[in-house]
Amino acid sequence: MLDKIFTWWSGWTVGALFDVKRRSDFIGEDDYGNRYFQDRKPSYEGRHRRYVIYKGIAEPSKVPADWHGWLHYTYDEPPTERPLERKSFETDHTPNLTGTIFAYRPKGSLSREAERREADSDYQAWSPDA
Amino acid sequence: MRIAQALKGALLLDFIGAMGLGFRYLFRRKATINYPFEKNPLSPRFRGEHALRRYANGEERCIACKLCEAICPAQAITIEAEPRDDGSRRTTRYDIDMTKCIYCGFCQEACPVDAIVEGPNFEFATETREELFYDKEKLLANGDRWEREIARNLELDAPYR
Repeated sequence: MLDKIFTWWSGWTVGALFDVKRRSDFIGEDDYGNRYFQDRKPSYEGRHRRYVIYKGIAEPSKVPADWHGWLHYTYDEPPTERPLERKSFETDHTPNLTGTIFAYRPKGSLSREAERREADSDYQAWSPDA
Repeated sequence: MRIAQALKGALLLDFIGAMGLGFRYLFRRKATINYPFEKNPLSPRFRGEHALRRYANGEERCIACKLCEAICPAQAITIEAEPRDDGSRRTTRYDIDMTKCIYCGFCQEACPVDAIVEGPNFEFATETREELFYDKEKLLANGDRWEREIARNLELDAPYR
């Protein structure tokens, strides 16, 4: 509880939860346990404001593609009403993994075994004349 | 008249009025947003992190025509290509240097098969520089993760194109 009062990264802050519970309706929950809310009344700029309460650390890139567009006001139907079509090759969402051992490394990086492929001959490396 | 003005000045009425105005704003709805619990509006055309898309059967779209590489004003894209075993022309290398990219969207405009797109994701900041040197594998993985929203955004934007 103390971390919710004094920090902002532990799921929700007390202020955010107070605001969200007081004036918003629960819209749905994604596969990862993040919960989504929408204001009952339009706000200052005429939009019904939308909120996400994260499960675990409040990391903005945890919002999966299904809810991302709704949360960003790109379209108004939440995926509970109109789920986005999912094709067979699509994979599950991953948050931004930078700073962890799972972070993406390009081939040829010191943190990765794979070797970078040599460039084809039509790209010429510059070399100093001196 | 002069006395009234002097009194007004001495009683700091202008100050009190201004403070009152400021105080009223305390009770208004705020214009600021509570990121990360709340996010900004985005257009379906928003140009964020790049992704390479696939056809519905899972075949990659990119045919290595190199139009994106040619048009890229920051020269951030590097492509190499050769025919695959089944004879179709595909890229063997598709690198985007995200530190060079200026997010102008010319690559997605140039692409004849809608393969390279700039997706809706902008939360891809990294700790190290090398993580921003995207290769084909990373771009396809982005496409696989964001395809459902990219497809919806293209559908929303289609009437205006």
